[in-house]
Amino acid sequence: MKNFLILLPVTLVLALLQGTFLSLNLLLLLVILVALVNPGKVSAFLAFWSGFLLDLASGTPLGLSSFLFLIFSFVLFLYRRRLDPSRPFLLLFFVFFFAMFFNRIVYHHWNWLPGLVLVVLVYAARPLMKYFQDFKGGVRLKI
Amino acid sequence: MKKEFFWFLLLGFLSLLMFYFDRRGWLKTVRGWLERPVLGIEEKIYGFKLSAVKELDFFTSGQKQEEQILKLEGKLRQLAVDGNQLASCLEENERMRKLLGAPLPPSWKFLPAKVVGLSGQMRLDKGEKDGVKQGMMVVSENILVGRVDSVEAHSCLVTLPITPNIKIPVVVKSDRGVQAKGILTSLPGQKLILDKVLQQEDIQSGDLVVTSADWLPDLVIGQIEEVLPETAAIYRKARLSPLVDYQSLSVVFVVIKS
Repeated sequence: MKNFLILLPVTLVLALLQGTFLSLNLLLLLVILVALVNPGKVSAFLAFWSGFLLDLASGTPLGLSSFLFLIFSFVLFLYRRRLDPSRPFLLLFFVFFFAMFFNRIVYHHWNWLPGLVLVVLVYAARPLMKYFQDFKGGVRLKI
Repeated sequence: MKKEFFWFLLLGFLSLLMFYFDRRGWLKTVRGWLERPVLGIEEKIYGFKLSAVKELDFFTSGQKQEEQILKLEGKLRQLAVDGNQLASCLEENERMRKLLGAPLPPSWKFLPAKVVGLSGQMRLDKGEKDGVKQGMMVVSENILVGRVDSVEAHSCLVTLPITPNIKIPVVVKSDRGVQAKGILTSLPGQKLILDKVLQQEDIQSGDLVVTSADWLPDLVIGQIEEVLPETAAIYRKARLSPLVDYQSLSVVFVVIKS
């Protein structure tokens, strides 16, 4: 739960930036990364809180982003054992699909470009996730 | 495992409940109360972003000076060649200027609103408590900025013409009168497209595209940049250039009464 508290100000800043001018869904990226590094209760709480802040900052219906983030977190939680290093494409496919789906539901149009950027960012962040997982001393991250 | 399922289930249910309550309008007071400080911060962030973009433009303009000089020299030569057509061009320009500067109907009432966000949709700092309702038009001078899509207590979301897959019924006008009717759509990358114009209609680059009577009429949206050559199609298409830079708007007007 300590990790969750550390992430609170980060989510607030990202939500405000996304609500004003940032079209890239960095909150979704954060939710995905946390769901991979720390699946379970923390990722569920972060998904709910991030979605709530995003809805408040961008004027979308309260609960919509929270629900979508929770679904994404849950899917990653279910598939956590299958996201192994030899097959990073499954993870990247999920990220791309989540970004597209989020855009379709919230903004009513398919937009593949932010999804593609998120895929690149997640791919680039893999060593970082691995580091955090090793640092935690828990189960090694399978990406 | 069961514990994690429980948390996902509980928070998911809570999200759905919140969504339902918000759609029914039962959270308006709470949301309005929470939104106030958020809107204040967002207004400052957006203002900072606009000024930062201006500063960046100032610095990058120095590098482009040489290119601009070359372009201007080319334009001067072109002007010299076109000198003999100046008289007719001036007359045409005068008509266009009148059309562009056409005063809006005096019965329209405007509510000034600050732009507090622009990601996907434009967010304004005026809402239900200020008299804003869903479907109202938002303008800047007599140029259409968008239509109010959803309203909260102290803010509203505006759908812009550059929103992908939007469909706005429009009319093409020029100094030759009303030329055609069509549908304005948008493609990803903020490109405006005029579609569903019959092949026999006479549209040319430079013609103005305004809203038809289905929306508030005669609000200018853009100017035809290029008529796309598609001879085999039933309808003609044209690429438009918007007359306002949506990214740089800081204050707009909501048409609250017409």
